[in-house]
Amino acid sequence: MSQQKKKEENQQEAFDVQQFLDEKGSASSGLKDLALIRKLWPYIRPHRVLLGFCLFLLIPLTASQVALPALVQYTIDGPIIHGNLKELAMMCGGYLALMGVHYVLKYYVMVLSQIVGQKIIYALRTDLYDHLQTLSPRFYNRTPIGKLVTRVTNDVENLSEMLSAGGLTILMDLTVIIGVLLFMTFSHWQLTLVTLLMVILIVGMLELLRRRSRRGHDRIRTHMAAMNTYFQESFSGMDIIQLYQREQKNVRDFRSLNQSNLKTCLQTVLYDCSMAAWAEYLTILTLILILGLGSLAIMQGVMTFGLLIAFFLYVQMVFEPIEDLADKYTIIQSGLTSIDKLMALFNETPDIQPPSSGLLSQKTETSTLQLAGAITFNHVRFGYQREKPVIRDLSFQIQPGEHVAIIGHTGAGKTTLIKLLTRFYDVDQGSIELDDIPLQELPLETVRKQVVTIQQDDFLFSRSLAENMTLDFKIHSRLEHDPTLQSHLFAILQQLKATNLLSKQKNDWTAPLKERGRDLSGGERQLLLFARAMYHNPAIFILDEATSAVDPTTERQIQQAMALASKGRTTLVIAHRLSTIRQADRALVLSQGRQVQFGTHEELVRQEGLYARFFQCRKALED
Amino acid sequence: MYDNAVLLKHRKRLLTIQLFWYYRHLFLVHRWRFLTGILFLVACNLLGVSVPILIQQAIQSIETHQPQELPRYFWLLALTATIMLGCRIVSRQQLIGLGRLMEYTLRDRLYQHLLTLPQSFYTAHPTGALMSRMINDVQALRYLCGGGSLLGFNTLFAYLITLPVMIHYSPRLTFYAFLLLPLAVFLMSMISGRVKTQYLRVQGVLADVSAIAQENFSGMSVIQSYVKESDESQRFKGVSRQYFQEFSTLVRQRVWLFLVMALITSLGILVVLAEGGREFIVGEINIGVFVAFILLLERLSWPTAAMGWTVTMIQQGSAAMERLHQVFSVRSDLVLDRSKKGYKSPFPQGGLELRNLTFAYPDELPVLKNIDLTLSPGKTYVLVGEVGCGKSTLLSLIPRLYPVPEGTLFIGRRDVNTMPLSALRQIVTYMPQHSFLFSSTIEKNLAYGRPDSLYPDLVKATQTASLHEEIQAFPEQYSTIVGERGVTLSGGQRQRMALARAILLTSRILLLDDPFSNVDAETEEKIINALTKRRMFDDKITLIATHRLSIIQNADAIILMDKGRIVAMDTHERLLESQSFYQKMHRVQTLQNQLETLWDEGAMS
Repeated sequence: MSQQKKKEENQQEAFDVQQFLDEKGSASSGLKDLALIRKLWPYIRPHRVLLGFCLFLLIPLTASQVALPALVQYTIDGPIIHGNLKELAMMCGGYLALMGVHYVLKYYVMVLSQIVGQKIIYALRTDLYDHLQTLSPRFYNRTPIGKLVTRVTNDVENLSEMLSAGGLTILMDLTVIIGVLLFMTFSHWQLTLVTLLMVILIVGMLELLRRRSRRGHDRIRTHMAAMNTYFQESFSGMDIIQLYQREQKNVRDFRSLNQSNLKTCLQTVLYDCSMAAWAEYLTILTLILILGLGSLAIMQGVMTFGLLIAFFLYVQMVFEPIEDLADKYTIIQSGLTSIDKLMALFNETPDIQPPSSGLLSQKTETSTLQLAGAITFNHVRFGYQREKPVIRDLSFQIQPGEHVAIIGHTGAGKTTLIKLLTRFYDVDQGSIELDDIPLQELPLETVRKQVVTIQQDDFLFSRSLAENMTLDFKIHSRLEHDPTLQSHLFAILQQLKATNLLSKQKNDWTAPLKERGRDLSGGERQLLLFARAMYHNPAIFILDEATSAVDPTTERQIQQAMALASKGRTTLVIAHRLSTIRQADRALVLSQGRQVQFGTHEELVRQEGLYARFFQCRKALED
Repeated sequence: MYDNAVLLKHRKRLLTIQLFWYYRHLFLVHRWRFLTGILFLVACNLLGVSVPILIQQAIQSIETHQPQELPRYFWLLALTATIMLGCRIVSRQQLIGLGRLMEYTLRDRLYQHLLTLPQSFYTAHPTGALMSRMINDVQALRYLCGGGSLLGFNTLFAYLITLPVMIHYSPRLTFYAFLLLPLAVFLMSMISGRVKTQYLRVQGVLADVSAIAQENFSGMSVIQSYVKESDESQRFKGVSRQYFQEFSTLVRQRVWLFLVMALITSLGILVVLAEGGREFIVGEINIGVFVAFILLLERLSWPTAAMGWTVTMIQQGSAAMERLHQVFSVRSDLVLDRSKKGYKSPFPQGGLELRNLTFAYPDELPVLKNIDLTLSPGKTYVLVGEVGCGKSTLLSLIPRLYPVPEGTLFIGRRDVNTMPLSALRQIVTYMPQHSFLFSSTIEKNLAYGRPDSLYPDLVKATQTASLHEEIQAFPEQYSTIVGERGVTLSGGQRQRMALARAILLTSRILLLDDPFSNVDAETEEKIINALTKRRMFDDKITLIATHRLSIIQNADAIILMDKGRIVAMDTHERLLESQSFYQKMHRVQTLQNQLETLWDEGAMS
């Protein structure tokens, strides 16, 4: 093999780490750090009194902490040097008492501030959830569910970490540092100056190392994400890997990724280790300096041993929080990133707006408003992307109580039509009217309450049968207090001939469905969805018939359920089966977002159009 | 190495220490690094203890008014501290780096091992569980080897070295100072135990929060359809509130833990102040010892705190090791290289033969029953039958994705079990139903089975799969990245990619499982024509499981399957005459095709 070719091969085989490293940044609200923190103010505001109290407590807390080494100093310079045992015992007792006060104060400040933090988190989390509930399918279609879950859990947790590590804790550290330095200045300003210089040195040194370490940690994180993806793909595509005999190459690929990670890790380890070691080193150097200068002062008689020891203790007190500062900085940074992401979510505005004016928008009328169920489409045009219309110029009228079958090929716009009718999307042109009132002028609540749909594979919750039927959060306690409610639910199941749903749950309305209803058959799921729709008693009922085949018994049961559900209601059915179509008063044939035919079965069969041919084909198929 | 592990399985429960002993070869690789780290750690602690000693002596020289001695001590102190800085960095870097190296080695071995495991393992173990082994368990062992060994040994040496010095200065004072220690350790282990339980509880509630969020975001359309936003808001608030309450308890416990740790240092100072002060007054110790004691106690406060963490790391590391052992001890259920020596011709000529093959997945009823089948070279076969009749299983057995019983499957009269797996899979290309693509470029995905493919070959394959034009329409053409981070391909495009990937290999035996389910009729026709042209040479065998009519009419023979058995094998025309089952299936397909064209025409008009 020629040298050239070999080289090429190697290049091709070198695993593309870079491909993984080029990750796109997540959505950002584009705000600066301070602006981000200001965004939190509405959440902090309610707790300002308690926080103010905590701030006030910081004064005695700092004072007691600074006083402890001072007490050591006086004990040494007083009773110990003078040899007074009785006074020594008294001073020790004082030390113990002050210690007690200090720790009690510290306990309360730490606990109170963190609990306030948690309250803020609670409010933020629930607000975020409420906000997300107002967003429409357009948002949910382009946002992975996993990402949203991450926002309400991990990102909110990051923020919580930030509030407990940052916030008051940092303020506490700062007051201690300032208090100590002040006290030291009064005792011996030269030594304080030395300490201060060392503090600046240590902060500078740590900052220098921290920057490099942070860069390393960022890269490690990216590497880990890449490895995650790699594992995920390897495990789910293992058959392909083995069938195509890629094992050796994958081992090499993974090794290069793993090695690249190891290299970064080992570099970063060096910085991380150096940080702690340098902090220790500079602390010892400070001690030595203090000892050196202090001993000179002692010999000159301007300083005591007690003060020297107190200074030793103070140095530890100042340096320890500085060492932690770097960690806290990281936590705050990731907290800020999370706020940024959360704010970006809060900035999402619902694209379906409630009616701005008109009598009907008033709350009092919404609950009593009962629609008759007339539907009118007026030259409706709509596309999920404006330039690609799915519904083009669609017009039709449906009378209250009428039963209409909608027929059309995949992509004809059948499902879209339903989504427009329930106002999950707004039309681009034309209008939709319910009882001659434009949809946009009706309160959203009324529209959704009066128009109920059963989608092909609607969502069942991993909750009880009663909860899945009523979608009522408090249904369990209501069932306990209201025996008629249970018979009402049971009556619905009975009507639908679906009481086996309940017996499958061992007659327990409140036991959660197994595996989110996955052990129910397709037919049983459909019936449960019917029960859900019937319980809510809408004016307009829309059904998306399942395309997949079910056994004849179930089919009959569903037909029956549909007949029952459509009684006295305007009903729209996206139909595939002839039997379903024959049940309807009229059929609406759609193609490419346009109405092709609309009429009774008899009329349409006579017209020799698309419907007639569809009917022939389907009839042959169903025989 | 795996032999050992399998033997172990029979001995049931193992002590953790035994487990680590069996995998010692993994850990011993880096023994020199470990020893270096330990050596420097000892040096660190020795130097660390000499700092208080030197300070004590310096103070003593002030006390005894010998200032000429002082500079010497300061130089010594500065020197000690500087050497210590170096030792500290080296020891930490060696040991924490050791953790990273272990992580690397373990992941590498584990991944290598996982690649040898058969399909049955992957059906039994969800991807998430394996990811957790690769990420979390390996990480736990990293912590154990790195941070754990560092903290553990540091605590050990700190005590071993500091304690004698303290006793030397004043046994009494040491005794009093250490009266606190058991109390501290006891308190800390008690509280940290509680913190751990509470932490788990908090995690549990957080999982509830996450579950509700997950479920409600998935079912948001239902919630909004039925206007149940306020109900669900209440539900979410309920669990968030519970989280708040549990977390508040955790906060209190954590603060306790923090305060106990701080308290110990303060109490140590008090002890030195009271007892040390008394001994000073009595004249047993001098002021230097007094200072040194405070500094020595301070030195020990960190290692004392680290004790609890070390124990946790050991526990978690051991549990992780056990879980990794479970994976390492699994071996492939396929006969791998038994025939390595006796094997001569890697490419047996002749047809594919199945003799009385019966197959069942582990712990299940047979999926295939008494299959007898002979496929001759140079022909195209179509496998038809209802969903669940065993078509996919039959196809997946030929490349031995699952163990094939001996004496049932032959290629060129040779039992496939006597061929090395790699040789078999070189002859057989199987395209499964799911069109899995990797997050990589189109080019790399296509050339997956043969990375050295030339560009013209790739183009030929994509042209056969009727995909070339679409790829060229992408801005980056064959270098376009597909998958999670790249362009999202449609279902049909993915399927044709997978097809092109398979036919690129020009293997002798090509098995396609429902390769056109996402392709429209017109494209399908084109692909079949191109494919037949490509496959009709030589002695190639093509076996396609499908329902689509256009292939059925082009095939040399149709194999009709029902409930795990072969019902018939004949030409399309003859089956149409003789088998009512086949007639019915054919009619449904024809009508469905008509219906589809009908709608298409309707769309045109």
